[in-house]
Amino acid sequence: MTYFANKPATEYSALPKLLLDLGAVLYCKTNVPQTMMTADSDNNVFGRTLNPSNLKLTAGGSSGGEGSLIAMKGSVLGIGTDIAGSIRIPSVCNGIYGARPSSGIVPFAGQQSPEDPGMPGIEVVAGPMATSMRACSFFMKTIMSAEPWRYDSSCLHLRWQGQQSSRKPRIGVVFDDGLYTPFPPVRRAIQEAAQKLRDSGVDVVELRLPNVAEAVGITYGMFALDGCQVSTFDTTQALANAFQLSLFKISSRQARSRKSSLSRGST
Amino acid sequence: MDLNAGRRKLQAVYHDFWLGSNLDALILPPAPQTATPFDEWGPINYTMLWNFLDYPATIIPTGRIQESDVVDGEESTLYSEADLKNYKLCKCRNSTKRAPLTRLAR
Repeated sequence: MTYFANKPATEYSALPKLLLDLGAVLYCKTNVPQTMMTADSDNNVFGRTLNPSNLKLTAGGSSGGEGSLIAMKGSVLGIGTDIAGSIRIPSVCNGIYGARPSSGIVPFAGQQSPEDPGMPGIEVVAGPMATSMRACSFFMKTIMSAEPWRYDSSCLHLRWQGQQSSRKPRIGVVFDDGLYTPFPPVRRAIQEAAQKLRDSGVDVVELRLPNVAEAVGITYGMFALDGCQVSTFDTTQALANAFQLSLFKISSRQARSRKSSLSRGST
Repeated sequence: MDLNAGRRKLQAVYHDFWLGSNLDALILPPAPQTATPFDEWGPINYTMLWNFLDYPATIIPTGRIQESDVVDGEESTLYSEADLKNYKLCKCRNSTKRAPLTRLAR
């Protein structure tokens, strides 16, 4: 993805266009992995994003730069993109709030992608990463109230409804997915959350998720519909660019040394 | 099974799961692990499932790892070899110190 650092876009994509029209002030772009779809934000152009809680731990990815920046209060709200956890993994690693909306809610059109245009399958979405749930809600309310379908033809004509539950909430709790055992602190966090919900009068029901292994298998199949040719091409291009860049450096160094020998010759 | 047909089928399974359980929301871990050392983040099933279903999912922080979170042995793993391999990461007590904790809510 950082291959695009040498090919900057000439116009804003749908979401920043909408935000700018609403008066937002955009002040930085944050780090991502070399190829996207990686849970660690490290690349050969900008380097590795570190986790402000502990510099030896990953900041997650792919929206890892955003997660790290928000965790160290460098921003109250940012936007990540998510196709398998790229908003949520950095949110987990950095202890911040992050929401992946369903597709067709937040505009996504016009974003640079390591994927062929129009590739079907799992929908990549944009969503908020923030220091509070209030900020995530504010973002969703603002976007959904601003007729996002005017900016992106794939957005649903669906306005913010601010729905409140009209009954005593009923919340399912899942302790593990049937494939991987959560670590002890994660088990504690879910137990405590379930207990707090029960204590506050919420109806809590313990559940097991159906067909997880099958869903995971299909998802990986859908990610590779094009045989991953586009990202391979991008990586090859990035290598080619890096090679050209090093050739350029060598030739400019040669030019400099010629110049310096000339200047030496003149003295 | 064909990928698109398989996805539609499982989306229907989860639709029935949701309505059958009469749910307003679901809470679950966002990953088996907390923040790992570099390039060690393993299973992404816990987050990826909701992309597959195209359901909204939100991360809610719940604090940090505590001294009282005892690291238990490999016998605690419930599932496969891959599960065991991932679970071994939680032994890195010092390296995961201060790692944030979160839960995923849909």
